[in-house]
Amino acid sequence: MSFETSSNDRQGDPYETLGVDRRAGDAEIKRAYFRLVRDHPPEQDPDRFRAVRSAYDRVRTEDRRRQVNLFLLQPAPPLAARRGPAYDLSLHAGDVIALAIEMVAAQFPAALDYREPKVPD
Amino acid sequence: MREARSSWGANAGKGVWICGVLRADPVDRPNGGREAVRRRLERPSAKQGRSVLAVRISRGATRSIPFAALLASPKLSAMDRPGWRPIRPCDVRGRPEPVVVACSRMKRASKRQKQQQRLETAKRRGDAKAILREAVRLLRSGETSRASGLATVAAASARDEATARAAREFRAVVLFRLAMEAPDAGKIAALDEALTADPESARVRFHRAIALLRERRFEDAAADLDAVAALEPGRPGLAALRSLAALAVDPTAPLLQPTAPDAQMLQAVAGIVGSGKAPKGSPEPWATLSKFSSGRRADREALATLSAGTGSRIAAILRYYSGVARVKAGDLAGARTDWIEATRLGYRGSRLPENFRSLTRDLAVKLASQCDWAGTARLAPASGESEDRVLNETAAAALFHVGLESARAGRWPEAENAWLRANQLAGSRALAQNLALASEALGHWEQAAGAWREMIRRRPRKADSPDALSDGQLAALWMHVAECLLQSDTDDSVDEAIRCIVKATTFAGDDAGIRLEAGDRLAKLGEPDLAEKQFEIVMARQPDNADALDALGHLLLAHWPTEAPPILKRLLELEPDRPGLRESLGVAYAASAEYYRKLQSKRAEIEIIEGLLVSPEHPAILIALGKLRLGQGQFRDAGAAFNRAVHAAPTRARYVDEAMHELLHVPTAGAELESAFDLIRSGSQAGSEFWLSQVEQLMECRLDQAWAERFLDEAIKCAGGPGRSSRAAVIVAAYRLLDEAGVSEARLAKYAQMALDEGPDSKAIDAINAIRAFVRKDYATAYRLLVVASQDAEKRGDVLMMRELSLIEELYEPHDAPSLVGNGSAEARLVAELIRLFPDGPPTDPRMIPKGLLNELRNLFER
Repeated sequence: MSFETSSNDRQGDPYETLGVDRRAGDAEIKRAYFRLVRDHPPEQDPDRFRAVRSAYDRVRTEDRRRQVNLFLLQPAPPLAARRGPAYDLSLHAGDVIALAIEMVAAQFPAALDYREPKVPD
Repeated sequence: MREARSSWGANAGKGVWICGVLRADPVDRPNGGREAVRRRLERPSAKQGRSVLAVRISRGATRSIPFAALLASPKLSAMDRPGWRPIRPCDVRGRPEPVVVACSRMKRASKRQKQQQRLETAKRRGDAKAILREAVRLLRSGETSRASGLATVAAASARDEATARAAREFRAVVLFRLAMEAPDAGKIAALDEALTADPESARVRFHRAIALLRERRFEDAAADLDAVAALEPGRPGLAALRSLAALAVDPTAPLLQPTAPDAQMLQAVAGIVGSGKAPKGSPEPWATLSKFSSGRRADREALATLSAGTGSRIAAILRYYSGVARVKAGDLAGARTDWIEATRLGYRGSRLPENFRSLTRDLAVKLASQCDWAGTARLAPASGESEDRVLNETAAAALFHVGLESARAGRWPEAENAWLRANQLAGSRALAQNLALASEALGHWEQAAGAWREMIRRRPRKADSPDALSDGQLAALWMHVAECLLQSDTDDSVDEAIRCIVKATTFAGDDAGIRLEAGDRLAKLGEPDLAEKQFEIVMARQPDNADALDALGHLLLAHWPTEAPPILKRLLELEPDRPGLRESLGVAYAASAEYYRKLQSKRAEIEIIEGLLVSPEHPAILIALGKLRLGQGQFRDAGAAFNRAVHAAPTRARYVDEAMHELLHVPTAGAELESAFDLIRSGSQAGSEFWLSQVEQLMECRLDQAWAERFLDEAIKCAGGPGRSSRAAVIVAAYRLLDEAGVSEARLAKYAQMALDEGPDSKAIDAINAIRAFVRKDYATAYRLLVVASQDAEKRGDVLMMRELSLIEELYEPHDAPSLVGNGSAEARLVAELIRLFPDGPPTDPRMIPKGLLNELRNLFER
């Protein structure tokens, strides 16, 4: 038994190579493989054929796909629609009074109360 | 043209030096000012650094004069030097708002010094009045803290009541100013201190009441305001503040009699506090605030407008409510801006943090629903995680997408960063997997191992889950974690990797493949016991598993060879044609026989017989047989066995080498030796190294030296040609080996002549001469020759020659001598330099050597 222990950036995503979805079953994968092999026969396109062959080899059984999937980038899981606690958007008396205090205080800045110190003779 | 004149002339008498005045009208004389400055800078006083630079900066000039170019002048850049700073703006007559900045180092420092001297004198003399005068000066110049310190000193130094009172009053003034300049957090404490200096001060109490009201300590504030009312009943604003303090405690409290505008405000406030509505005709902002809850655009805009023209405290509250109005209208982004601004301005309403969290969350959810992942990701908390779980999860999902996009574009660092951040906010199995892959792509193996572990930890535990991991997958993942750890460079990575592999085997069940793989890796990591256990588990469940037998057999062969034969023999029964098996079995029987031979056990004979049965002409078994017979004194059989071994595998250097050497140990093996020798020579497989190795072994065992010379001749004959050792190196090796063995100079001369025949370029004769020089203790010559030969060999890539030269140095050098041959050592460089200077040999007179080099050489030899 050989382990699938390399990340996809080194070996490539076999599903992408075969042009199938990650949820594809044996039959669909096999169809895609045969189609690609027909389109890229080894004598005309040996590199592509090798890539297709290798990709198929990695995902041709359910067991292998499970191993391969462990080392492929995962799509983002769907984000469930959720709501958190609501706002408190009321007008608060404390703020109203604070505002009034500030408006009054603004009329009497501290500088008005500064006194010139007496200089001793 | 209008010319501007500064007041520098007036200042000149006071020691301010101004050396240039820019023209007011830059259009007429665009460079006039610059030239003036330049001319002034040419004066001796400027060159001596006593001058002051002057640059006029006015609105018109900065636009038209290339000021940056002016500043770039090397002379003017002196302004940037430490100690040079603008001291005052001076008036320039004839221009509105002109500014001349005079820079002086000397004058400023001097003035400060004088002030400091005055103060020190006053302190020394205990002159409270003088100290107080200095404190007043400091207060006037805005240095309140220093003035406060001096006030305390003055109060302590006062000798008469009048001065003491003046000092106390001054201290109260200063403390009040200090308190009012203090930040909000320390204002009340500072005002308390000011009040201790002047308990009857209405103004201090009034401002403390305001500070207390801001802290929403209404009852304390009311007490202060009552005290102010007693001390200064007519103080403006007092009635309004008292009413507000009372309203804050009791919304139904009656209003006092404030001034007319305050009365309108108070009625509006009382209306809003009591019933949520301001009376009709209330002034702003009360009118808008009382109806803002509709979220109408007009009200939002009114609040924004109102906040724009006010002080920061008022603006903070209005901006918060502007944000509230925007939330109500669904303008989440605008509300966020308002609340950020409100926070910046100091709004401290208790609902803001929670509302802001909710707002950020809703904004994130909204952007995420529009698939604006980058925008959503920007709303992620800057560090750590938010208290809002939905926000964390939404931001994590956005970062997941951002990372995925980066990874697909090959931008792995960005992907890794995004996923690391996402993982902090809300980890998931898929996220951990992607993070592990990104970390691997970047070679961050330790992090990758950690991410894989997290991925395993986050797996669904229910077997029917679509994302559940099978035992096989878990085993594969643990093996992979081990691989990542082995790639990392941490101290305990190997131990940890071993633990991971063992962990993998716990999920292996009956899967022989995983166990064999694990066993193989454990064996490679130096854990044969653990490896053996895995192979044995497989064999216990599948006794005929050929791969397990093979793995176990070879593991035993490597570590416990006497136990290997039965396992490999069983495998041979199952798969007689398995490639390499008979070879391994032969080695196993031979190793086992050797083991028993050393124990002088009869079992050795049995092992050999069994071995020869399965692998009749295996050279290892034949050698073992030869050794057994040699030990038993059966020289004829021993010679025959060794000879058979050579003939059984004439091309396998390892066996031929051993058999040939063993033959030399057999006293009666002359014919067999000749036969084996001829066979090996004719095979042309053995190179110079083979024959040199034979000589070395022969010398070591002190065997017949006649064979040594025959082997050396053969070695020299094999040398040269592509891929082979150089003839020169082999000749040097031959000379060195024979010299070590102590053969006569006459016999050595043959090889010295050969070296000579190779020509001077080969450096063979240099190496041999180095040996000779060492023998006659002429170390300088020896080292010189070695260095020259070594450099030459290195240049030619002659590995054997380099090895020989190192050996010569090692074998012949005096005790504790420094290493001179080889690369990079300081000594080697020193000698190389000496040789460069004196290629024809060391100078007879040490004075010919440069002094520095000579000193280094002396140091070297002292060492």
